[in-house]
Amino acid sequence: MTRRTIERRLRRDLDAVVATATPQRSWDDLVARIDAGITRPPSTEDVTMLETPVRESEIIERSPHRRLLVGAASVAMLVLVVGVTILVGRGDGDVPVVDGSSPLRTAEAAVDALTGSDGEAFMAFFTDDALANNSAFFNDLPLGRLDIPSVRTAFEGSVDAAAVGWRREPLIDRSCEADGDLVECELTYQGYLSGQPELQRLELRVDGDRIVSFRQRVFPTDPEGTQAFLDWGARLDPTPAIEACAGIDWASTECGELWYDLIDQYLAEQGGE
Amino acid sequence: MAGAGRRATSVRAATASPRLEALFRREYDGMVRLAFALVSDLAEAEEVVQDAFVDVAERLDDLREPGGYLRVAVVSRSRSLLRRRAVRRRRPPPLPDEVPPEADELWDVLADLPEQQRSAIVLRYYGGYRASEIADLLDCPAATVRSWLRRGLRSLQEALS
Repeated sequence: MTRRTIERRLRRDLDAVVATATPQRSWDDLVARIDAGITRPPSTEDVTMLETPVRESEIIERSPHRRLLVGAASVAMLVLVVGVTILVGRGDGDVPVVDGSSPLRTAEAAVDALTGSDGEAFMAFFTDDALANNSAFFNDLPLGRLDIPSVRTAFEGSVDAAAVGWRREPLIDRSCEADGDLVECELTYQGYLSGQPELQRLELRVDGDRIVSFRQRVFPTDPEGTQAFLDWGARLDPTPAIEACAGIDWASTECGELWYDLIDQYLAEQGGE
Repeated sequence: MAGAGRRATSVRAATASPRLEALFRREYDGMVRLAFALVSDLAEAEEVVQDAFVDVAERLDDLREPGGYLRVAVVSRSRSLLRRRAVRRRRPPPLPDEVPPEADELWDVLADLPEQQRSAIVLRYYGGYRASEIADLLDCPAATVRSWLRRGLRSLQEALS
């Protein structure tokens, strides 16, 4: 079957199937839904969908609340695939971040840098050796001015089964509190695997305008699903991830597609669609 | 709580808007069909589109082109649903009997594609969008869309041959 044949079938058959779909709901149903939906909290979609319209300049004025959501959405990439602790920065490569007026401001600027990047999401799996040999990869990550000389992830005490993932996730909320030079931030975002709000805690140790250590913990809504995902990822060959994402713009097509391929592969192996 | 209050005011104002109702009359059926092509389930497609209209209602006063916003909202919500469905491992309901067997077969194969490939293919061959337009809808580079299309078509070819 040629590509042209497939394309012809797609046009013909999709039309045939969709023609069987007759919408059942009315304007009154929508009005009722709007009334009922007034108190809905911001959802994944609420955040995600702000992105394109804003970029297309359809929104004329932005309220502070909306701006927060937009920023969080265009962001939001960060996030470890969960259940994992990432230890970043062992102290020898720290560089200034945006605002060093107080530990809190410095930490917030760093978190903004972490969560404020744009581009394709990606995910990569690494063994500890691969990490050690590939610190340049992390230096290319859009972590703002956080330089990362090395990254080691630990999963249930195993340094061999290391998994690091960054991906686009709608950030629902963020708050930071400082206790001396230690700043704790809590991020609430929409978990990809669970679809539910998940909590992430960041602990940043600040020295003036530098982040000298950074610890990230994720508390998944679906720990079993997350564990299974991480177990699966730990078995993968890290080479494609490194080749696709290292030394280039991490938001590149290849790197982003890799992430989606991995997720698709995982879901397919689990028997999903 | 203060945020919820602002939200309520905004939504109530939009509820009575003739502009929203006109948009609904003009776009609803077409958006439901597009969502159906994406998620394969009419009931869920209508949920997606109704929720998308709620999103539009909340921001209607700020939107110059609510139709464009609505389209993005429908596609975004449909993709989100597909991803969650994959996690829940739930398949869409079967098609009605009047659908030709060939179309039924293609529909099934399409449902097995990864979400990105499926979305790109539906938007291209049902929606009639160009790759650059799909890239805007899916918030990704056009090159990525073309790659998804290529891979999706290849998978369909293999499955249907």
